[in-house]
Amino acid sequence: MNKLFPAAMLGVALLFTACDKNDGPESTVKFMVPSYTLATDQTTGAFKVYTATFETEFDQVNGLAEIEADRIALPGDRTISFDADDMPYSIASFTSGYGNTNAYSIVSQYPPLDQGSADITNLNVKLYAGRFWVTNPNIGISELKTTSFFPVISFNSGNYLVRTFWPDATFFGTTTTSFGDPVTNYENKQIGYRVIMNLKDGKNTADVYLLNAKFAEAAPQISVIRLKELPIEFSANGISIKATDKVPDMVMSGNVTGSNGTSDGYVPMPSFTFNEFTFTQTGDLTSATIGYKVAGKYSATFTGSYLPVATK
Amino acid sequence: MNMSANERVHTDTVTTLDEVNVLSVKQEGRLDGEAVSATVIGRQELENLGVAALKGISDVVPNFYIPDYGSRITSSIYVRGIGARMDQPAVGLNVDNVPFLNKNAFDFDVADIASIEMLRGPQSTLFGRNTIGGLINVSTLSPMRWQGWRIMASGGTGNDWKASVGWYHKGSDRFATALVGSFSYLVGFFRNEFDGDRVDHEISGGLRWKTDWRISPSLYLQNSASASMLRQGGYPYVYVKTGEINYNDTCSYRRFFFNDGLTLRLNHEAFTMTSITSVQHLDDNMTLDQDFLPLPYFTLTQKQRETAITEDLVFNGKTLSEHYSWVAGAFGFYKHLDMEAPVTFKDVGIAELIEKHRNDANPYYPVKWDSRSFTLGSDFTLPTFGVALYHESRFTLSRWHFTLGLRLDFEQTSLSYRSRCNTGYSVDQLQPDGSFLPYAHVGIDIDDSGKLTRRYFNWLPKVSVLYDLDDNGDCNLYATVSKGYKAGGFNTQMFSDVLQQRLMGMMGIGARYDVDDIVGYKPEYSWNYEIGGHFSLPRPRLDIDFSLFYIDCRDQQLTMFPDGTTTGRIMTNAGRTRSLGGELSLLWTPIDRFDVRAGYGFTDARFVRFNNGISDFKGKHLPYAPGNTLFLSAGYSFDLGEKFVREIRIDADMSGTGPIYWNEQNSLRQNFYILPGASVSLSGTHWNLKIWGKNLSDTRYHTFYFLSMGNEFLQKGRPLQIGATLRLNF
Repeated sequence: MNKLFPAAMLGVALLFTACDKNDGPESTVKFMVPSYTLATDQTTGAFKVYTATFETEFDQVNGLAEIEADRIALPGDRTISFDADDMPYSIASFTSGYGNTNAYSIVSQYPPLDQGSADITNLNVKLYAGRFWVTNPNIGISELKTTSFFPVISFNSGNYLVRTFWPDATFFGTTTTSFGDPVTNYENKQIGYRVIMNLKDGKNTADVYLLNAKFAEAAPQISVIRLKELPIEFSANGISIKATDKVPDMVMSGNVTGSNGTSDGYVPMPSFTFNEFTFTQTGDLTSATIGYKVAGKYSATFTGSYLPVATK
Repeated sequence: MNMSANERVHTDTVTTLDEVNVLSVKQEGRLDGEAVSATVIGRQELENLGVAALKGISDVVPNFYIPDYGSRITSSIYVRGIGARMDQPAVGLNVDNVPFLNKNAFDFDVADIASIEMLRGPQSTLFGRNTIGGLINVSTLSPMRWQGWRIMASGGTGNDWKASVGWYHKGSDRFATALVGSFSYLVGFFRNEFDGDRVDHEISGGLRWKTDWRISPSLYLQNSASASMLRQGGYPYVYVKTGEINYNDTCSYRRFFFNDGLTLRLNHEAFTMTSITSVQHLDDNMTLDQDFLPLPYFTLTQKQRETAITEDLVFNGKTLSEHYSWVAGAFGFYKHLDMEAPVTFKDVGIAELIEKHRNDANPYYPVKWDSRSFTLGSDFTLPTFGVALYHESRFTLSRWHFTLGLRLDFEQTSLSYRSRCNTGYSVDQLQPDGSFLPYAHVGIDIDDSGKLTRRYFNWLPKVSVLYDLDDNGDCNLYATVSKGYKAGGFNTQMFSDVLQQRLMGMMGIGARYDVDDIVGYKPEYSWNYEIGGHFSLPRPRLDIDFSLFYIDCRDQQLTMFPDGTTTGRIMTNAGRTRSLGGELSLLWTPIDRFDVRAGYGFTDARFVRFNNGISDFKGKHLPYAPGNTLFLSAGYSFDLGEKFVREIRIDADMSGTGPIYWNEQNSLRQNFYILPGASVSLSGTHWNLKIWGKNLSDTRYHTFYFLSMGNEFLQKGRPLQIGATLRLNF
């Protein structure tokens, strides 16, 4: 089922968009792919965050893709548009690091044959059909449920570097926790880090959720730990989040009624205060390094990615 | 026609021309003339051994072990390292041609057993599912063979009382019927320190009505209907840390079981057709103090109602020539199981297993349950059906006998489940002065349902060759390769754990189960490679059977205890196991009135590939299956002539079992132990009085080990028991 779902989605898309022109067989699939872009001036370090929509079209008969972007915002109130045609693409199977998720990617493996209407270089496009985390209100914790497309696109235009990023991404990798005297190391690959960014109205904060958090073999596993409204910093390098002495929340789901009559379904967890927390996304913004110290005794480092892992 | 008191059945089938049993229908000959390792125990020897249930022949049959633990719902059977603690049995059981489909009904008392035939190794080609370890065929006494009254009364220490009355009537050469009632009562051997009561008390009774009717020379009918009831305590589990049986909540098991088997045999010029139809209904209720501690943690009740029908249509080809014969058939079954399995959490369970875990993680905002008891409800419906076609061809070339067989088997099983929990808790907030103020209240209302379906298609071949060493076929050597199959199923026992973890997850703590991963387990398959021989020498009578086997088992079904403070059991599939060993049986009558029986089984069963994600068990012994079984018995009869006491017989026996490893890590085990027994019986024309003793050395041993919430428990074996049995036959 997991493998079939993205494929079925492609099939449904094909059903609605395929056309048969008079000049020969052609089957194309079009996707409108929304994303956030971080455009940085590599000279001045100025940056601009923008909500862009990429129009993609795949010619399944000839194995060629087209991508079109319209007025992506750059620093200094400039915009850039381009239309890249005839990019060879391939489809591969991927599996996420959690929950036996499968995804397909569409990857431009070569520089585009047609650079389009703008001065675009180093265009790299990956389009993933992946399953996303959604919060199940019945159980209060995130489950892999929906399938959608998300792009990983980067290109240069003059001094500018434009990269897409995903404002609701869950990172999986390896968390190594150190604690005690003598120091004991505990490795956990089950912890997921879901980072939900609130970029509306320049708010630029993030809620960070630690899923299946467990910092030592003998420690309890916490379903969801939430670090709420941490400040996001954008720079030419990428995205970073920092906080100190942050009291997290733990989920409590069900029919929750606070003493004041309302509740967001979380309860503070002072015993797990995060003395330090840092989150950094650099490069193509698909991977992150996270470091934190909890309860004055667990020091943790994490490196991982939100991208599915290729299975072949 | 009374059978003499000393009539003894040797290693041949006991079926007479007036009876039809499913084994004789399909095997068509003496078992010691077949390429199979088999043990046949006749009525007289069963009476000498005091066998009233299958557990009585544990160890008597080499590499055949049924531990006596828990209650009668836990009839685990291990053969050659293959076995099952729960769900699908590894050994098939037919009683008067009724193939018992539910392992919960395997442990029962049967009065007047005519014979028990035990075939080791997969019998899946002819008998299908769940005969991966072998097949047991129990035949009760036919009214065609014996007429009159049979009365038995027995009493032993532990206040162990049994009685049966049988009326066998032969109205004519064509019609005979029998009605047999039995009753047993046991006060028990083990006390619960909590209240001082015996925990393994038991009361049971049964009624059997068997009819044989030769309607015409070509049409034969046999019907056997039986009903039984059982009420018992059970579960004398010793907490390893204290060495005591000490738990506070009631444990019990009650069962009602009805079955009817109708066998019709039609002789035609070209073939013989046998139709075996059965109906079974099981209604049982198991209630457990699941923590087995003197504290109110939680209890489990499991109620099952299962109705099943089976039909086996068997065709035997008339011998066209002396070189070829065949058997073919079609089998179908349908069973419908409704189950309720609520787990009730009590005060200490809520405090220790739920509140403490949560509050240790977040002591500033502790939770407190609304009430000190709540229920995790689980209801299941499991309809299962299967159909199969099978065929065996037998070729004879001089002293060579070849058998080729194949079964095509399809099975579908579904699970509809509904899990419910309605409870709630409050969250307080710790204040700087140490007091608490209300922070929130959380109501929990879980009501999940779903349906899962599994389908299995199997091909189950068998190839064997047998070579007669003499013209009479009394001595032979054989080799056989066969495939065995044990059905897959669902881990209904894990649903309360899934629900508990779901509940904990809603509180924000606890590991999550992936339901899809744990609720189902796959079928188990094995390839059995075997060589053996049967030797029967007339004077002095000496029967020797031997076999050597190698079993390559894939996806062996194992009962595991999940990590952590859970109480569930999960059936999982071990990647690959292998079992090798041998069996030796001997029946020797060196002089008249003196006989010796011996049986030895050796099994070395190990994991070839099994990693549960935490440990690699490669090379470790399979748990629960004994490495050795040993049985020795000798008996001598003194003929006193035409007196009130016509015969005195003295029997001595000993059975040995072990070692048995209790876990996959092989860190715990029961060493090999021996249980000696003896009896003296006096016989008259119509009566027999036997004084008997079991476990005469009062050997201390354990029959079972398990974990609950990380606590270790063992069950002690039964102690020394002495008793007497009186039989009146007239």
